[in-house]
Amino acid sequence: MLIVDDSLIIRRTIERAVAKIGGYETRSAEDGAAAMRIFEDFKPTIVTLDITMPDMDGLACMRAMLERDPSVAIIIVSARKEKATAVEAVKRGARGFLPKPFSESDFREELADVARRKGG
Amino acid sequence: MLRSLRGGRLVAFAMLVIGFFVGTVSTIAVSAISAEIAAVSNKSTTDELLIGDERALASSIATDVVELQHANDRGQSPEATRAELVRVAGVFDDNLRALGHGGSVRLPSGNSVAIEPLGGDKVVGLMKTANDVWAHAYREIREEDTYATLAGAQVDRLASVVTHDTNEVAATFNELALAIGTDAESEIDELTARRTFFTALAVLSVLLVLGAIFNRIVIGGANIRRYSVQLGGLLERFSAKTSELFEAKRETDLIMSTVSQGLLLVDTTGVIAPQHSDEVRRIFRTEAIAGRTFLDLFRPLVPDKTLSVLTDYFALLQDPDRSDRLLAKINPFEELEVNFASAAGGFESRYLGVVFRRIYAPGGAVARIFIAVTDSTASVEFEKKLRAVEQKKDRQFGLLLSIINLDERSLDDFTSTVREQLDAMNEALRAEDFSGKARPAGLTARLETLARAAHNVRGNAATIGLDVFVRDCETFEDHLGELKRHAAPGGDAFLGLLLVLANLRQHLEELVELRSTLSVVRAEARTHAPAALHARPVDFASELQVLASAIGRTLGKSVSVRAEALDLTPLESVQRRALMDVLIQLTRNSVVHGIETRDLRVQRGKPPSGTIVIASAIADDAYTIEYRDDGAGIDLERIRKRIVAQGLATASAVETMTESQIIATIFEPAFATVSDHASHAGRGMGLDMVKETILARLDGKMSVDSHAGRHLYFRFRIPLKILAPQPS
Repeated sequence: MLIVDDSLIIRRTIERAVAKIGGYETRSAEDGAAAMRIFEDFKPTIVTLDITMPDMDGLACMRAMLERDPSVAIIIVSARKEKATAVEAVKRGARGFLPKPFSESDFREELADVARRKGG
Repeated sequence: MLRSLRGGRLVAFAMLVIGFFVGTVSTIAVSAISAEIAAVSNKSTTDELLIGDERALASSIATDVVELQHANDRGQSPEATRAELVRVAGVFDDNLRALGHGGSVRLPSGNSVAIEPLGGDKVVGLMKTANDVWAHAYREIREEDTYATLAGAQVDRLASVVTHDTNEVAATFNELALAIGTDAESEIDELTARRTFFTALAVLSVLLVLGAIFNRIVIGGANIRRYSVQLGGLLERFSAKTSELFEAKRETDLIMSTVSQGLLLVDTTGVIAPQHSDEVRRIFRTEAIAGRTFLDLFRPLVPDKTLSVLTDYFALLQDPDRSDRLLAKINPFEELEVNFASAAGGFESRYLGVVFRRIYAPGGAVARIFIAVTDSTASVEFEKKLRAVEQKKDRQFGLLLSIINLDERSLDDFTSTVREQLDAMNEALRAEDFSGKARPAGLTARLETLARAAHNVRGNAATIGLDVFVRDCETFEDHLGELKRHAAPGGDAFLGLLLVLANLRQHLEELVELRSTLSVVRAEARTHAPAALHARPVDFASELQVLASAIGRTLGKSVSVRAEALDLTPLESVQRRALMDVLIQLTRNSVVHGIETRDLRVQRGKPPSGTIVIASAIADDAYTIEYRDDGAGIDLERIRKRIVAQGLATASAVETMTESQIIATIFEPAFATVSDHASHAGRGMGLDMVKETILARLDGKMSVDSHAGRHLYFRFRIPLKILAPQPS
């Protein structure tokens, strides 16, 4: 799993949650460029992508990732009220949505949902 | 029953067939017999008539013969009569022959008629008799061809033979006629009987047919009855179902009309089905709902950008591959602000909440979407109000905490200060300065005024620990800072400043309210428990300590108040209060101005914590209070500068002033009332109040001693006569 977020707290929260679930190797990136580099190498099956990061067009990053691998499941992290962006992202292929702020259990739920649908 | 039915049907069918057959045959027979009867009757009548005619002929022959006789008697020529007689006899003979053997009979009218020979044994026998007799007579008639030579006797003999024979023939004919009649009668009787038989048969067949039909009818009737009962049952069930449906529809309609949500159903193209709840019309303020698309309802209510997001979302809803959960999370309709054009020409904002539930077809595709719309404006507004109230509550609580340790005078001072400054700021903040055009002249000066005022308030607030005001002023100063750089400030900068001022004013009002509430509470406490204060002077010391600690904390200083030797009991309550106010003021001043921060104190070789010592004593006719702090004392230089700055004395004059003179100055109202915008003291140190209380109200004396950098010392002497009577 690839975690793309400029907030350390969020990265840590997700890493902790994933570690508890087990079964995933994680890598993290702080910005879009690093994210794309790691994406190429690591070829994750799931990506959590913060689309509110200032220095990056989250949707463009998402599109790039989906172009490389259309089967990757992307969970977008966004501000709670930013429904317009969320709708746009899902329209373009995002599979999950995590509004900030979220807890570990919120993340676990979303991951379970996305992983389940991935199989189906 | 079915089997008997079938058997019955067969019987009925057989009856029907037999009936028809027999009926037909009988009817034909009856007709035939009737015809025959008629024929027989006719024939017998005709025959009788003919016989009658023949007899009449016979009679006429007899008459002719008699005529002949008479003619002979008269001597006339018998030729004509004879010819006639022969002729008539000839006719009679022919007719008789015809009657016996068939042929044509000549009628008296001259016509001939063909007849069949007479039948019947008796008749034939009679005919023979008649023939025989006639033959005799006829021979006689014909033989006499010599009528000329006819003697009278011959004629007589002819006449008697013929008359006799013709009479016999006539009698025979009578018998014949009778016989013919009888024969005919008996034949007719027989025929009639046969006819009756056939008639009966015909009637029977009719009965058979009728019976068959009736049978069918009856059975059919039974069937029909049975079917009609079944039908009736069906109809009943049908009408029961119908009324059930009707009832169900009525209940649905009732639900739809009373449910407080807008419920509707759309298909995959977004078209709304006709069955929706009444609330939908109320929410969207239109009657046109069914048949329109769901997105269409929102078109006049939201901006285009929002509408495009809604459209995208609706498209996502149609895709069964998108999880319900995800879609619910990103639902942009969840709390949507919509704007209705209001009648007055403006617009009205409302909040709508929409949730979707997808209904799947058996194949897995999305077939319908069930939608619930709620007008959640009331709850949204309520939440907003709640949040505002909570914020206000927090603020007020914060304020309360800040001021609970403050005495009222300090609060009042602060309040007046802020009011003054606010006025000054209002004065300096002019709308025309913010037209957005060229920087107006004098703006810089006015901005300076605003900055000074804000700084002043901030300082005062910081002193007594009212963070709310500190924050307000900081925001204000930030705004001003930005404006300083701006070439031509515009309306929104103006607005920004106005808003902060408005906040400031509001917080001030809240403070005033709190203060008055607090003073009421305190007054209550004092009136109800003066004994407490009376009996435990030590508590006042604790109060002072709490005050010193509270203020000290905000300023990074630690101060301890030692007032074990303070005994306020000899004083009357009014005096006591006045003195307490004084002590509070002095404590404040010590903590705020006098006592240094820990670091500074350590630097100066002092203990890090400052100390205030208060003691009281009674001597002779006086009550003495001593107050001492180990702070920095009075900074004479600073005072000197301030005196000059205030214009109270010239710089040179100030140089010549003694220390006590300078110190005395700080007790002057004039000195104290002027607020120094460069210092943090705000309204001075309240020492004018101290002076007034001690000297004027308590009629006492006051002395001050200050050692710069070391201590500050006050002593108050109050004459005993003012004091309460001593307990003996």
